Amino acid sequence: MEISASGDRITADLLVVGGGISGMTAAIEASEFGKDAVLIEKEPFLGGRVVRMNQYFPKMCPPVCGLEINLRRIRTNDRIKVLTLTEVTEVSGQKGDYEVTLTVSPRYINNNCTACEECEKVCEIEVDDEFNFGLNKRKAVYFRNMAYPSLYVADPDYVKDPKFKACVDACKYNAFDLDQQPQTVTVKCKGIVWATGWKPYDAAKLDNLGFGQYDNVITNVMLERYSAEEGPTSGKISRPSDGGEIKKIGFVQCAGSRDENHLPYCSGVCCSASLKQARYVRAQYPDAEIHIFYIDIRTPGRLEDFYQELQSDEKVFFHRGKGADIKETGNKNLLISAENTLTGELTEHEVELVVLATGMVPNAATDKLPADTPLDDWGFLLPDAPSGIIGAGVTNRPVEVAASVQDATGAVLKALTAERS
Amino acid sequence: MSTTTVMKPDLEFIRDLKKAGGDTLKKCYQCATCSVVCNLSSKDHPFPRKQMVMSQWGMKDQLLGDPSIWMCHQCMDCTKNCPRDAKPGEVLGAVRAYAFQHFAFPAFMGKALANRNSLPVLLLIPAMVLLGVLLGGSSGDWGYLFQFTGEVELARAFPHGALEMLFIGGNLLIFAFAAVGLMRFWKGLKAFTPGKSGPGFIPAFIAAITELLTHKKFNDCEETKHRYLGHTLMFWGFIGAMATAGFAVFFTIILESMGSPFYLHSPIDLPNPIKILGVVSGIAMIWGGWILIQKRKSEDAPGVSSYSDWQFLYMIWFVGLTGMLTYILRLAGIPIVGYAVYYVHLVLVFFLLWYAPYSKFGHMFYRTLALIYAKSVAIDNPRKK
Repeated sequence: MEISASGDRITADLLVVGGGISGMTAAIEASEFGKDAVLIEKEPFLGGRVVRMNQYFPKMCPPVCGLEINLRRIRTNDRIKVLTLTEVTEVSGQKGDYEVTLTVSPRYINNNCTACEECEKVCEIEVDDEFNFGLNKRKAVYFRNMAYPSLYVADPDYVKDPKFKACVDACKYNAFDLDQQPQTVTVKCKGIVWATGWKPYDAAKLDNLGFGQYDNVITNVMLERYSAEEGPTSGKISRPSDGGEIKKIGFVQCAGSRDENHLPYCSGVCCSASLKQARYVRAQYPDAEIHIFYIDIRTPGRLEDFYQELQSDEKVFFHRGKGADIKETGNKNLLISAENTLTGELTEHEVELVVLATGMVPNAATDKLPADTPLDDWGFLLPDAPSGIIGAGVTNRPVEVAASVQDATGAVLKALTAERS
Repeated sequence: MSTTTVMKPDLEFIRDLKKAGGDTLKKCYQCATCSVVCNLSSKDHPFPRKQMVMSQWGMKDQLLGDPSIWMCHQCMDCTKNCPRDAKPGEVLGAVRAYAFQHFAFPAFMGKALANRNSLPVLLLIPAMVLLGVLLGGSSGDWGYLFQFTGEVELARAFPHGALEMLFIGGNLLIFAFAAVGLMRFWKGLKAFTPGKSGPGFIPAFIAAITELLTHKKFNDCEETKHRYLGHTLMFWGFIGAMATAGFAVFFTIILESMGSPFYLHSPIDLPNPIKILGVVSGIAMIWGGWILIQKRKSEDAPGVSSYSDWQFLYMIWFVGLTGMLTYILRLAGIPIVGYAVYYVHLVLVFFLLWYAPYSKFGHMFYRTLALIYAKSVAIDNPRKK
């Protein structure tokens, strides 16, 4: 399958929107039973939220190994066309015969790029790295793991900056193309899978928990970046305020989840995620105490074993009662207040680092979806959309990676069935 | 050896709580956010999380024997932060409303005050009694009551002697009845909240009274800061108004009958300090009541108010309002309206006083006792943030 000569029309069986684990899976599954798929992603890289994780639960293996296998399957597959920096602008037609208009944003770098790093080295423009939740800085021209194609990308906000010229001048391969314009591409396809995934809930909205107010209150997704070897601290978990070591760490479960004032639903993964993160801390600091404040531990199915293993760990303390108030002490430690609902006492625990277990907000809740694709009250896709669009993964409901992969496989079949499913 | 505890949920009690304003109680999922965000919650005896589950399980006796119910001042910090919208503040308010009924002696009075349909009858009783005072005091000459201008002689229409009889007699009876309920309450506290060894009754009494007079707990609220001012004004305004009435009786009736030279002629007027106290107290009641009513009615009110709340709040506010109006109408010299407003004022005053143990007014007795008890067994130790 090739883009036609004019470069603006593609015909395929399936369009997959979102290049995270669900979208990648959907495209691969479609291709493996003989269908052509177009996979689009708004970021310059594939892997979505999963590529930002340090390890999967419960097997504790790095997600990149799973993602890289999928990436190779995509690269070597003639039936899959990937467009990154691409978003849907319009969907017309109906199931079996869609015409979808896409907008491809400029990368400002062409295929001459060899990823030699020279432009990045000389670049003087530094901005907060959104990939790492602002924990570090990145340059205005940068490379991402899982970039697709495997090229550098320039930050569109800075290509006109006078300082940017140094980056262009540093390139020996003539790989910069600052005249690139947004491009419109039309896809004719029979089915659409929507897999735009999620973003973490904004912890700054949790008044009593001190995020954004106290340096040493971070979120679960941030701890993944702290723990990742390729992350901003090269995998070292420490206090953001001073880089200090951890003697006691507190995990506050249901931070903004199961809460009528925030996310009314349970994201279903944060308990297992915190248990997993407790192991990261345990591995780096064998003497550190881990305190987990919870309402109920929700580890469905086989994840119960994962929970029970940690319950028998003498350094892991489970406190039944929500960590409902966090205050900073003089030395930038934090006091977590909770009522121990088993003993009926108000308790305070002083810790060096607090991790808020925030939930998942579907991107569909805030992004514009094509007409007649109804969402539930929280922004998850409802089944049987009149538009015929099929959701996959966290677009449908909050789930972990394994369930997303299964869901994506099923979504392909639904999307390519002629009738509404 | 293991023992089996059989829970006997009182379903009727749960239904009554829901009716009294606690209809959200079943939403609670025991996360305990409430006990943490509450500034009044005690370290060793936190609330309201535990009281929520006790409500859900219909543990009536345990709940009514828990002083936490009264240590709660309905700040609404819990209700605002509750992730389930279970409104613990309202549920505890409903338990208090239930307590007025539960401890009521005679029991039918508790039921009558809790039921909005009984309000006309309850009003009719003081209305008829005072009408009797009015009719009995005059000798067939009613003309002075219906003048549009002229002197307003309140004591002519409602002789002080008769009012004092009703006041003193009624109060003695009511306090005796209230004592029965309060003794039941105290027994429940001892049975269900043993607490720890504390400072003993007298120090606890002094500490509790000091705290009530200074409104310290109201001041510790966050969500409803306005209630510190509103309740303080109403509280001290009411005490001031009662004191004014007491001084007036002493100086105009008692001293006169003793032939004392310090005798004052009724009505006492400005700039006599007694009258100044009366006017200031009246204004405080009206102002404080206005704050409380407006905030409870406002759209961003953090909680909902029950019938028991509104009944009491409006009654006491109207007492202040009609009291001040009577004074103004007396000065203005409009007899027909002046007598009518004074009549309404007296009806409402006796409504408040005679029904005090059974209406929300009773919170002054129950809260005072509960605080004394909680302090005497050392469980009132808030974790002030």
